Amino acid sequence: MTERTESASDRDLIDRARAGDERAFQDLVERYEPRVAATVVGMLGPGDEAEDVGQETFIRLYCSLERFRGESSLGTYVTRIAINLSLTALKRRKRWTSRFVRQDEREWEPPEASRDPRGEQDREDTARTVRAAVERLAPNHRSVVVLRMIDGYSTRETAEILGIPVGTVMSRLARAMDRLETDMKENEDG
Amino acid sequence: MDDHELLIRYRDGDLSEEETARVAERLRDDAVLKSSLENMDALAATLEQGAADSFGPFFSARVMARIRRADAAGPVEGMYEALRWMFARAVVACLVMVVGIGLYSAIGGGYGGSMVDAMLGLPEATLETALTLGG
Repeated sequence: MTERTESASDRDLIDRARAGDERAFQDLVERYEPRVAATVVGMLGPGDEAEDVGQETFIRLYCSLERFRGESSLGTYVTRIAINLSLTALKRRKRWTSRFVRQDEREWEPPEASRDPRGEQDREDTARTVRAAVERLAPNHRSVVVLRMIDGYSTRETAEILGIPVGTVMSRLARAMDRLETDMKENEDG
Repeated sequence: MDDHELLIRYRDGDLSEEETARVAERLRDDAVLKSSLENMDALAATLEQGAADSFGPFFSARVMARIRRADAAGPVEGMYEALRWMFARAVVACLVMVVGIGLYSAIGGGYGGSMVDAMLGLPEATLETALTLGG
């Protein structure tokens, strides 16, 4: 059993994982779980599907360790896998929904508010409403919002992860923010 | 550049000094733009606060368990690979069979015809066999 490697660099952990050190790869999983969770849950919402895509992200990383050349940071590389798998899951979900769910059942409704103190309940209500509004965005707009506003990537990094020009990231983000703002206003009025 | 894009770049500090000053001035006079910026700030804060940071306890252990199961099962072959493997072996088996029959006919049978005839198991072509076959 290898000792824990909290302070080892990504490079060290990758080299050791390539050499068959399971503990080193598990340390990489633990290191990047928060980032992958933010991306995948941001894209798909919480639940089993998100967990499955999260696991698949790390399995893909494990399978591609030999090919990873370090041209981008490991964080960017993992996020790219996570966002691509999330987009695939969204496509699968859309196909399934269009086949098996009636049109009037499709709208996602925020669950009932819990019995928390008023202020916290308001915040939770707002968070749920924003979450629902994000889920209504088109996948390519949603991915930009998740990477830029939730994961905190810069516009340039977001463009690199998604493989699109910086200008496209900016215009998609502007349109998505416009849509979210409109949704939130409609929610306040209605 | 529309107002949303302008505000995003303003928040990011991605505008020139001159552009930043112009937006700041507009924000003082334009209530709609100011409200848009406030909404954007609020949305960004809510999204950031609501970000998940975990898949739940023991996630890494679950990932490692899946990797171990996949490693134990070995690589999964695609249909193409499986067919190629079967076809290659079938070709080798056919070649061995043809050579074997040919050698048996040529050596074991004291055959005097060509090697191709021997491989195909054809009788030696003589005047006598030709007359027999022709009736």
